[in-house]
Amino acid sequence: MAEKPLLSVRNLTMIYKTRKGPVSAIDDVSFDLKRGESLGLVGESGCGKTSVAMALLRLLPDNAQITGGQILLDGMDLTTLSEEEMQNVRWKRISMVFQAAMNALDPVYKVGDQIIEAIERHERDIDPAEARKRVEALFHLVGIDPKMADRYPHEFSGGMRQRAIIAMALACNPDLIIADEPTTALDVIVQDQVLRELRQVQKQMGMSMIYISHDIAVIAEVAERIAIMYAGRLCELADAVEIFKRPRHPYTVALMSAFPSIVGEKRPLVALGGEPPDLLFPPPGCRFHPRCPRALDICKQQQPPFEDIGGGHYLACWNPAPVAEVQS
Amino acid sequence: MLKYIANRLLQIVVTLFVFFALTYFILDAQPGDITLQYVNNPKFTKEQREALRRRLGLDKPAYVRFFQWMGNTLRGDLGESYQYRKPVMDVLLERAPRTIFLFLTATLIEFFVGYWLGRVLAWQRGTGLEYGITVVGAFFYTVFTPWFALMMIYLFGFTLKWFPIGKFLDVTLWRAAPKGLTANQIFINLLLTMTLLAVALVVVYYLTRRMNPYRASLFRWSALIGGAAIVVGYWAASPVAKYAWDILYHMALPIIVLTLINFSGTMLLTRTTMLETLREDYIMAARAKGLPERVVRDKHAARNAVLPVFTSLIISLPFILGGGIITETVFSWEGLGLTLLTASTTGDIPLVMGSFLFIGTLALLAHLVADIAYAFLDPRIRYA
Ligand SMILES: Nc1ncnc2c1ncn2[C@@H]1O[C@H](COP(=O)(O)OP(=O)(O)OP(=O)(O)O)[C@@H](O)[C@H]1O
Ligand SMILES: [Mg+2]
Repeated sequence: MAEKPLLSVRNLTMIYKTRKGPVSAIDDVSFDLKRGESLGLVGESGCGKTSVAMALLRLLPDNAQITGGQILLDGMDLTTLSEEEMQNVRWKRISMVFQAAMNALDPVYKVGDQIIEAIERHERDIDPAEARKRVEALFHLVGIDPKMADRYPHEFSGGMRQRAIIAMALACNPDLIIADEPTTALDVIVQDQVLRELRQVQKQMGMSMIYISHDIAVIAEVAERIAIMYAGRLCELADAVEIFKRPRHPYTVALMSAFPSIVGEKRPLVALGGEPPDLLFPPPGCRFHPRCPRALDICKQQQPPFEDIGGGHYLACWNPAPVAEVQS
Repeated sequence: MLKYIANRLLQIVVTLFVFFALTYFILDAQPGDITLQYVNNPKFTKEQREALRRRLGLDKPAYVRFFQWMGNTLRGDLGESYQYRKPVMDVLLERAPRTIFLFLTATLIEFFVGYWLGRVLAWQRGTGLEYGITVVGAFFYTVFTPWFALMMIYLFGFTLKWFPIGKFLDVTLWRAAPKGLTANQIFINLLLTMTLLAVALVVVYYLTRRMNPYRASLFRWSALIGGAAIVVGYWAASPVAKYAWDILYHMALPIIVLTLINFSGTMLLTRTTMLETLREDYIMAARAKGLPERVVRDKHAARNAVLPVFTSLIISLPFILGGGIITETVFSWEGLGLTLLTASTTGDIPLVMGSFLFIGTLALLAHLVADIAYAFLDPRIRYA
């Protein structure tokens, strides 16, 4: 493909230093994201999804350390930027809808002012009236009464707060928005609505998007490509349809079987025994092998490479599930 | 809001009534009365003593006297002090400004020093600086107040002679003071200028709240420095400058001591709440917006961390006044606290009750003002 990716994550590795030792939260993660594309990142709780998001914005806690790899945004390596340079990237180039978005608004300031704060930070000379107009337009776009800009966060309902956060994420017209479980705190009906609106706005404005969720059903609705993460590593990445039709990694297969097929095919239910590993002591070789029904000897010793098996379908597995098995 | 204030004022009246009744009967339960002072005088016969008691109304039962006192008080008559043989109101009106000025200044300084240091501590967490200041703060937090005050007087007043010892003015200087000038006028004027300055600063703060943080803090600092310069200039140019200076000079040591004793509570609390606030999601969001660390700290973290600190200040207000009795005694600062203490040890009931009236009303009003200020600090609070 000739088109250069907007974001290219190369072999990203990050640990959390703890008293008990390093927690290997991101290990050798690589993926590309094109302009305007939406990528879903799926995995169980604790597999490192939020860590990836925070690493992209370099908003990691003090005990975190990126020990290897690159994060290339239009060819510029974010891991080598100074803190000041990184501040200019945040929100202007990459913005975020937080996992705990309910509490992402400062309770003592009006919601509109908090969005204006972000706009003024990145466009120093902007006329206050114009910033204000933009906030109202954004509110209109995400379906909140623009008058609400003068209200405080506690006067917003959960769904409205979520929409306000989305409006805030759009405020500086970024190239990439990361939405970390943007709807988990909402009830199912609002969840769906907000998600669909988010997807629509993203398409309209042509920005790239990374959706993060533990729920593949949620991701299926909004992502063009899906990456499956397990214990700090990516195990499979492909177009959404491909992932659903031809999952190859045994972990993906197990995830799919727990999810009623959207295309109506019947799948055998694969029960997944055991717990995800403690990232303080990740298992050697493939991190999934202790739970894998297809594990071989090599899986216990050697990490499988994360490689393109054709047509942009990436896989890290020594003994992938045959294509036919899931199509039966 | 107005309805809330009216409600609170009513509550204050009820609280005060209960408070007065309790203190009056407790005082009355003390053995002896003011006439005991003359018992050692051989010329003071038993009959004379009875006559004096009758004249002072001490022969009537306590509840009769209490309601009499209450009735008179409502008419604005606090009675006459047994010791000073002057209306209680005059004695107290003379002493209240001294107390208010001393403790208001000390509390403001204490609060801002504590808040500012607590902020630094939270931001410097894990460093030697944090450890050092915390240890020093814990020392002042736990130190025995009278002992510490006496040691400070001994060191700075007696040994080093940097500050005057005792009283709030230099008598030899004031003897030469122009006719009609009283220390009280100075106290009241100082209070007035300070209030004006405070109001001006609050207005500036309010007007700059929407500005970008750098410009806002530029405006605020210039307002603070400019305002302080105007106040100092005004006083320096006034003909009574040297008398005002004399009072401030006498006030320095008590203020230093009060600040040292009280700042650490505010500081340690600010540190804790600030560390908690830093874990909030909106702090992460502020960082994600690309805001510089200083703005994240001051505009978001500290602004939210101040709320519980301010609450604790509200709660501690009555204790500040109560502790004032000790401070005023140690420094011979003839304010309400010291007046109350001497009046209650001599059985000067009208003066005791009058002092309680002043101190109690002050404490409750301060509490009300602080509560109203809190509603402006936290938009989630709505008084209905
Ligand atoms: N500050 C930290 N110090 C040490 N370990 C951490 C820290 N933050 C996260 N971890 C660990 O790193 C791993 C990845 O955490 P992360 O929050 O990225 O997971 P997640 O996939 O986002 O989970 P969830 O779905 O619950 O949000 C977890 O095992 C977690 O316990
Ligand atoms: Mg997470």
